[in-house]
Amino acid sequence: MKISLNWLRNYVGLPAEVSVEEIVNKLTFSGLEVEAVKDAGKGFERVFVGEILERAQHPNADRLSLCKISVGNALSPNTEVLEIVCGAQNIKAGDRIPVATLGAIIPNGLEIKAAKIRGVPSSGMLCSADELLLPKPASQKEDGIYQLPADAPIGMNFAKYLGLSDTLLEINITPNRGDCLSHIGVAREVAALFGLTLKYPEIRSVARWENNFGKNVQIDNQVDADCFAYFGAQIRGVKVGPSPSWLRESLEAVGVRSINNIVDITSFVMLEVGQPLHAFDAKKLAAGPNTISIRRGKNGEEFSTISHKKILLSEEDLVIGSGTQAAALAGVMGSDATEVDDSTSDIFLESAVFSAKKVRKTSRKNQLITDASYRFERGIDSERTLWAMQRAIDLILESAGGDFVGANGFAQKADAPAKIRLRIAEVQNVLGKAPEAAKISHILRSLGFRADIAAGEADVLEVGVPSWRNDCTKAIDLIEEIARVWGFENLQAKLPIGALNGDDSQRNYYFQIRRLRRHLTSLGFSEALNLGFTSKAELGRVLMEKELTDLVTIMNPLTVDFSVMKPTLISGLLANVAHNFSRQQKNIRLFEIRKTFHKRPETKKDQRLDTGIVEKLRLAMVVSGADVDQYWQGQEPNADFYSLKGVVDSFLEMLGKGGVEYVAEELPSFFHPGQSASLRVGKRALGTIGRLHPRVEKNWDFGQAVYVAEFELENILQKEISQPSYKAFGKFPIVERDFSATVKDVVQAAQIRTLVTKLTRPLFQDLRFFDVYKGSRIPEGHVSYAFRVHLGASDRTLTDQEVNEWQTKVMQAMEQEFGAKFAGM
Amino acid sequence: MIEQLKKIGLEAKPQIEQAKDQDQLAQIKAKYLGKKGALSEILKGLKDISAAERPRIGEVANQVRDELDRAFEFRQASIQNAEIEKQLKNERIDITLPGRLRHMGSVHPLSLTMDRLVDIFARLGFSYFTGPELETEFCNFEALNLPADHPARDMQDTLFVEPGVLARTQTSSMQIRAMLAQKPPLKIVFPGAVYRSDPFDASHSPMFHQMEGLYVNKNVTMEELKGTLEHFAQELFGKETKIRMRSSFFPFTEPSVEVDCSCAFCKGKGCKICKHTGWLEILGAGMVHPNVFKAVGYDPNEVSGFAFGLGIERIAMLLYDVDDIRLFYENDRRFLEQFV
Repeated sequence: MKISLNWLRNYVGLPAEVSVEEIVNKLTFSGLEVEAVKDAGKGFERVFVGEILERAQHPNADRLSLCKISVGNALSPNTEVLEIVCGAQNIKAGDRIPVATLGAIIPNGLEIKAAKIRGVPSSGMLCSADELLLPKPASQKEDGIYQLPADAPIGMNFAKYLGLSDTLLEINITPNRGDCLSHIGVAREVAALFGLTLKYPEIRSVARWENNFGKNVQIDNQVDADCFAYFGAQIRGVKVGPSPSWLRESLEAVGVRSINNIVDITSFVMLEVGQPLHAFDAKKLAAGPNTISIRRGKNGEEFSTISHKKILLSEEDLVIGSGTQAAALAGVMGSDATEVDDSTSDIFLESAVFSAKKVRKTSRKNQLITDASYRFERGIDSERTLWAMQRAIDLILESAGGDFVGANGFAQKADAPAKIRLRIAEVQNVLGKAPEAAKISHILRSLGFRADIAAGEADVLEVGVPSWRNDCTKAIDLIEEIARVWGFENLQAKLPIGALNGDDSQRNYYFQIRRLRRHLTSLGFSEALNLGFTSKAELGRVLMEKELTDLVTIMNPLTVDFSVMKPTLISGLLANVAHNFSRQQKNIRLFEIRKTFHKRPETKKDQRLDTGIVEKLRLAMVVSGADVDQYWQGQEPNADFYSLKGVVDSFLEMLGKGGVEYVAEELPSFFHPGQSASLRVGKRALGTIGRLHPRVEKNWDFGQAVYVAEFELENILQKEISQPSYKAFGKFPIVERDFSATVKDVVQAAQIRTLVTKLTRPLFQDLRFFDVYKGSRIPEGHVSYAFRVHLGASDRTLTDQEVNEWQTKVMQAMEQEFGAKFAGM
Repeated sequence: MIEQLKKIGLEAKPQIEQAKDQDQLAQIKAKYLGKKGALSEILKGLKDISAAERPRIGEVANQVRDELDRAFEFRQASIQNAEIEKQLKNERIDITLPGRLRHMGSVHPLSLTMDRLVDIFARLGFSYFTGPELETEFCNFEALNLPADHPARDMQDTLFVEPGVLARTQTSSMQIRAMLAQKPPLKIVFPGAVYRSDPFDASHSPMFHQMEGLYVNKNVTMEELKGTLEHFAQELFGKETKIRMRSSFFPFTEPSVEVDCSCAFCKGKGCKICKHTGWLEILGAGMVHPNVFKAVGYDPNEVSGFAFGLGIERIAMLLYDVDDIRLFYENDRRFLEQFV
């Protein structure tokens, strides 16, 4: 809401010593946040009306002149003559011109300093319209210095001379304060905050209104519940034309374009008191100038707005009708067919109160958010509806002439203004050490509330809410009013020492996630964070169409890029890889811990709490390129499946997750089937890991191998953090035996490990692979595993013979199970 | 015989002293002092010497042996030193070449910020609680005193999944879930992602993060809200930090306030970061509205409470001097790795 301080002064007499800054502060702290202050006089503080006493040639430059300038006694009590060098050609002795004196920072940002121009000192600048960011005066044809009339008072501040003295406040009015969407509304706040009196303009047409009431206007209200008040008036023979300057300037000051005197007056009264008005061209009303109806729209009824937008109405819409014609969308906008234009002579003027909900619905549905609809949605002071009508009639008769020939209307008996019982103790319950009863009633009264001590109850105030404050219905609303005027700076500060919350079970997960993050960062991974949504196109670069099931989509996305909630974190991380690759960052280690979203097939249990969507907390990782960017001992090897697997194993161990199996099953299509695995414990799936399918690497144009992994953290994080428990280590030496077995390459390392573990169970300590060979030295389709088995007992040193027996057992079992051949050992 | 012994001493000593290395020294030692060395050879003749003379010869022999041993040890030590010197010289490396470091990972600055905030409130006894990002209209709006068709819904542009289900616009929705699940007293912070239909620009993102705080108990006043937020601002920005409250409007709190803290960067003098006001807008807060308590089945005559909500990105941008919110979501290595 733009508020002109000059306009505001019509309703509240602000003492001269109250500064703009003070007004801004008080409004802001009490809830009317002033977001911007625009001072029309800014930049003109040291610019004055001056007179050229003498113009001489500059001694050292043909194109420059040296002027003697008087600015009267603007700078000192004694009239001073300034010597100023000027390059413009349109000046002569005797001209009155704007002079920027030393220290001025003029509107275009230029700072005026003492200077020598071609060897001659110059103590100021004669200004052009451009330099002052002003339009050139209409009377001036030539470019150059701004020319003033001969009667411009020498020495007067230039902004003051031009009348640029207004200050514009841009105020953020919160949705609860519809009453402040007008100059009188804000003036009322200012009056309360500064202890001043609010005065309304005088209405001159009251008597005529009463005389005319019931004549020449008929109103047929068919929507009792949705139209609370409606007043109509007919004025014949108006002269539509340009607005008088006071009206045009008032509107322009708050950024409203002047259209014609009639339309401008309806705007002015709305900006003055907050009541939207509408003027129809009475001759264009289909049923004649005297009759209008307030009715529902018909389904499919056509309507064309003042802005020539065609819309289709429904029974949900409220319409101001004339016969079969829809002349206006009630509270939103008039029709182009009934618009006031230059040829209009008779007008039908409307001032009404419509249902906030109905106006909101129609305005949203048709995307017609107007100054009127905005105000109706936020509540209208129904006690000012008739006043606004009469005020507009006054101004129209004054500015556009015409005869006020008839009026009619109704106002449903509004609910009696709310009466609220406010116990002083309630104020203390909310604010702690609160102001006393006397102070409380003073604050409430200053805001226009009635506040009386209840009969027989010294600690209870009976509070009457004024008609414009329909947001106040409860004691707590009054307490807020008291607090904001009292000032939150008066509030004490205490720490909350109450009892703890009972349930902090989620903190366990949170701690584990923090550990996980730190663990991964120490292994060289950086944490990424991506938006929760993506697009089908981006998902299509990773997943097959048939995998895009259970997708959660946004009904009203901002753009298609943000239209699907992510079912996997991989697509986001791959976009990050692409971003980095395209910026010469080819070695990438990223992880992300965020949610994925999946539609649940079953119906919802409880509309209030069940969204029908499963959110899964996941960890995803991506690796590509080398571990180290550059090293002087040669290139580090590039990441492969095993480097990522090593990281995965280490965090699983850190989180105490044992018994994990890697199987090449149930892999999403974006994985390379020969270099990827699913992880599971028993039947429970933990996640997947592996290289991207060459198809996906190509989709993204990566040009180097990329490895990814994604895990369901819910299946990995521990419900309760388990403490490690110490186990004593053996006192007796561990014996090692090496094996080198060649087997068919379908045999996996895990099978060998399982067999050896099972076979040597009582003595088994560890098994480590130290070489894996495929190549010309062994038959094709075979692989040779070299591994070391560690055996030991807790109660004795194993004898050579004993160990040899175990060794033979292992070899025999491997021959039997896998057809293993052993190299000489 | 004594002469012979002395002669050996004189002959051997210079050789020992000039031995070039361990090998040569060992040879010399064997030659004179070994089992078959010169000294032993001479002493073999001792059996032909009279018993009276033997002690004297023995004495001389010992003297010579001791002297040679000492010379030998001395020489050996100096050869060893020289060898170590030589080794050290050969093994010298350029200590200014870079170490063999893996590349450093980093925690995302928004996670760092969230952790810091959670920790500050943990010290005041606030639990940690999170919940769904896709929310019901009930939790996100209705129960928060924002009925359908209320103009306050225009304060946020909402993304819907289906009628009644939306991408939560505020972590305040978690107030409802927490209060429905638990009985007072409650003292909880809820960090998490929220969504708005805002296009990306330097200061807006369609998804961003908030942290909501809620305290509900018997007899909670606004004084405790002020104390809590003052404590928070001082923990985050330093002990001298001051806060101020401006009246505002949120449907789910009343009274509602916007809270500013004195600018930590210019100490309130006015700078670019605080737009020359000396104050930084950091959060919104207020006393829980009675209608919210009613929506979750709490009796507003029995309990009262406060709630506050702040933007994580806003705080992170202040803490880390980040001037464009989009940097948080590009995941450029050069950005992320500045938060090691």
